[in-house]
Amino acid sequence: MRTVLHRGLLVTLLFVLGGLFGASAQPLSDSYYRENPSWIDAELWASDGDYYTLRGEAYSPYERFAIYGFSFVDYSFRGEHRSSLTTRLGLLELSNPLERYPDYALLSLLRRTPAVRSSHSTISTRGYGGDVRTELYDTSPLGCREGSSLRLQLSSRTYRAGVGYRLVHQRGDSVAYSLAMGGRWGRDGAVEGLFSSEEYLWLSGAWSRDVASGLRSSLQIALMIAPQMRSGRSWNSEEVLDLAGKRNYNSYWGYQQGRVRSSRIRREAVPTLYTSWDLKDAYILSHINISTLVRVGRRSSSSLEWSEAPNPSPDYWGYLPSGQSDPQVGLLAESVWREGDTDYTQIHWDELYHINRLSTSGAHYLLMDSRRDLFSAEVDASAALLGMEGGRVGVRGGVHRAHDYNTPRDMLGATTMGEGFDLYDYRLSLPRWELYGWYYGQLGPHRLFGAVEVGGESVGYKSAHSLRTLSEEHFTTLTLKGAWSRPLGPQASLGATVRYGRSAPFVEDLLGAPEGAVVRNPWAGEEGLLDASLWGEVTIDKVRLQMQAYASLRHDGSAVEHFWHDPTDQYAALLVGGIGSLNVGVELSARATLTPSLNLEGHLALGHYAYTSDAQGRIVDHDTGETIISATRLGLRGLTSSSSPSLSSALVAKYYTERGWLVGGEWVFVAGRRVEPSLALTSDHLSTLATTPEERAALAAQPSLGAASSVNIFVYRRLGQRWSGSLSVRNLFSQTRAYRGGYQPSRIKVRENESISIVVPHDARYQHIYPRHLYLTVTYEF
Amino acid sequence: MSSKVKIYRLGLRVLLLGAILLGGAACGYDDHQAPPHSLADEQSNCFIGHLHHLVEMGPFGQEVIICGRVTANDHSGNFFRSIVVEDSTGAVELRLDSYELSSLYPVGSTVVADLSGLAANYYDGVLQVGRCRYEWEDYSVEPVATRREIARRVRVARGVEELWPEVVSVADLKAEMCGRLVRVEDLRCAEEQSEERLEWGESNYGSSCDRLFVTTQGDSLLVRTSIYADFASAFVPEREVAITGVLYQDRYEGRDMFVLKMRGLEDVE
Repeated sequence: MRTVLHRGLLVTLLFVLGGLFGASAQPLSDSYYRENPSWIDAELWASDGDYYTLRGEAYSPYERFAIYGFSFVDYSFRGEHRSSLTTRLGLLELSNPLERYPDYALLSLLRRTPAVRSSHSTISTRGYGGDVRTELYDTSPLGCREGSSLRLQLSSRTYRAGVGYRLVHQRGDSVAYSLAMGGRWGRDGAVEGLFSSEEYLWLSGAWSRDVASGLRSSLQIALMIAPQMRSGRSWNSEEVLDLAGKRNYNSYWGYQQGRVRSSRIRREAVPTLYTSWDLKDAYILSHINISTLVRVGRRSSSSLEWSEAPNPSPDYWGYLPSGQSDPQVGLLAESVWREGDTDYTQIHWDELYHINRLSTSGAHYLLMDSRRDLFSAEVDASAALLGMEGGRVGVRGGVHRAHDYNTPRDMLGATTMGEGFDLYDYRLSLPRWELYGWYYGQLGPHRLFGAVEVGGESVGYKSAHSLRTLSEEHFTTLTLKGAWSRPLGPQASLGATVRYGRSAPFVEDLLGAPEGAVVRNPWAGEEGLLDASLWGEVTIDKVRLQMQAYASLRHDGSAVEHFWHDPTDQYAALLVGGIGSLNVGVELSARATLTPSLNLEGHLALGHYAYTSDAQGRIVDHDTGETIISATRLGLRGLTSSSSPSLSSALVAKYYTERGWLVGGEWVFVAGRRVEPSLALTSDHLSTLATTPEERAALAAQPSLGAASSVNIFVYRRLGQRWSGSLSVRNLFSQTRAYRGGYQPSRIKVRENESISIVVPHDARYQHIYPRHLYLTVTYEF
Repeated sequence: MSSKVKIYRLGLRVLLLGAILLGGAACGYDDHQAPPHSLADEQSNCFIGHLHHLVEMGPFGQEVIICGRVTANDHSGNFFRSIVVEDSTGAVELRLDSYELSSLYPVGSTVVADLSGLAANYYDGVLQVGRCRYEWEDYSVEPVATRREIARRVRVARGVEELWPEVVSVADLKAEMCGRLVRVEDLRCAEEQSEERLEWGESNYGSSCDRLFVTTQGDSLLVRTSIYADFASAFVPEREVAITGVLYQDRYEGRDMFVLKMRGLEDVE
């Protein structure tokens, strides 16, 4: 009894501490999710080796490191724009075809839950992308290690404190349930205006019983909820960063009544329910499976909008010294920044309220929420192929719906909306189906894998405001995958993978300006892809070497870019088609166990990512759909297609002491990075405004992002049966000079130089690498 | 396991869940109180009409604070980077380097302006105040620069209240009335419109267009419209109208003539 009370008090104390620390941390964006919360976290959270089981089967050593290792810069595996990584919960794909980016909140939750593990990977050959990059999660708590654990996390990046609780309970070998819940909260320690507030809840149960001789029926149900709210960080030109005097300047916040208030806040809550029923034989090898996945919820993001009023952004180019034609005024503009007057170097919230209250014609400023209410339901039914272990056939289908609209979140002191704000309201529907089959087996020394997926999807659009509809679009999808491997001896093996496919375009690349005129991108259609890789590994004494060479070809890609068309002073959409790219490279990894206590790892990847052809485009008015430029060529051929590094490398050392300490460090270095081009600036239409070859070259230029490095250290200790702790410090030497990433705005401006007008692109925008930060984790198991 | 232990365990779990929910809800990162509406005090030490005596001494060196109603701003684009402020003694055009001044200083609001250190000059009969003097195409002073300086110098003291222009005849117009908001009735466009309708802001030369209006008594008046005004392409009425606008004075065909600048099409009745 006393023990239970003591545990209860300890748990409560840890929660209170975590909550208070997080809440009291107030002074009164794609990168966030890619952070490595703790170098050890991802591995040790599932400390019974589940992580290794999951990762080791599907990934090469380089890829495994690259999941988190290069997150201090803008990094995409092999320079991909469209991730080739497939994430499945059981047999159902977690991606939503209506959304370009993965559900990071759900993925983050899955990586923190207890019952997430992989059965032996049923659809891959041994490692190295056997299933061509598929990540599998299994929700069943049956067979997982029983127990509870409580964790407290302290950090200085993105959040300040977090708590988490996990429980797995087994009742015999036929019933099990698991619970995980927690959250993390707090303001960022280095970037002002940045905060996060996340909670998660995971409930999972599994029931299993014999239904006939040799047949066992299993049912899993999992409920996952991960609501979160977090603010955004701006990208800035070098001029603004220099004026602000800090590399982590963020223009998305300001003081309101002395408290920090952010203008860009993303919120989401998308509860997900997963069920899976299996019928297995005694060997758990051949079975029937029916799975369902249902997601309902909302994602939203807020931002400041204005009408017939001055731009509220403190870093608007018209307020900067470079935006002044009179040098004397430029000096005056600079002095505002140098003096650090936060009313004008950050958002002046009080002034926005003041202006709204003066107005007799409605609000001039609003905090507008762009919302997506989504509903997604998928079902999959599959069976072992001819009763064989390695074969499977199935069918899956689903419907995905989204209701996109915007609505004022905060009227900022006004009682009515002004007339200058555009509201949109439209619905998307995307039913899809797929037939698939795969087989893996062994033929002599050769391990073979083959898969085929054939499907179709339709996209429907309807606007609530104007009864505007588009004819439903239909696309056919096809994916063929193959993999082969064979041992070359007891310590070496060789393999290859190939994938060919045609995938439907993203909805954002199909519809130009769905918030406005909705125009169908005439070139949007199935995008073709062809990936191939060759890998080999060998173990020499205590050193394991692995090498992988790859080539990835994309063609018939499409895109829509929204931008302000300066020549006609209109908000426009650029519809693009015929995009092709080729990414090639090689990845090398070496792991050495020098002594039982000392492990060394080295990784090196070289890649080249380039567009292979020019593309074609059309520019239309965003609001009316009227054609501004009916046809223009985009000079993409030869340009770098990704800002991901062409050279990525890392050295990792881990040392285990006799007293149970694990200490380690890593040095990560990347180079060969360029800002991705703005599609609009590569168009013939804009380049003809330039009168000299130098001007034309400047429009299509891709500024270098330079090299970057980071030194990270970590230490882990286990104390007895129950306590463990870890501390990791990232970017130990706080090297912030280098860029994390950058992008090129699509705008141009005209500079008067004596009697000559020169067309120049707006300055590229950057973020610098995050300074030194730490993660401290304490775990108590009971 | 005893039932008490089970209860305690259940209680612990409920407590944990509650702590998490409370922890998340209590953060309040996006809970903000609306600020109070703070307005400037309506205190001045100089009537606008007395500014004329200070102009000849160069920039306003001493503390000079005026208070008046905003009678015109850049809402339609006819008053570029300017607002016109008027009190009972006179009017002044403040040159301010910002756009959408209409949202900062709406017509009918009362503002307090600190003119200390600013330069002044006359242009088309109206006293203009700005950062420094500059002889340039349309304006005689450079506008006050930067948002911070504008906000520091010109502050709203009272919200929008209805404005009543002074109703005068062309014959009664005087030079000392320049800058004030007036309404002139009994006007008809003197230019021929039989073949082609005239537009307010149509100009083949320069950045503004003048339209000649006459009264039944034979007095004449110009109405000047910037080619960038949002009503520049609207047609000049052929009927008799009353026009409200800020009064200027300029040379036209060798003689001094009064000029009205409208705030928008609503100034034509």
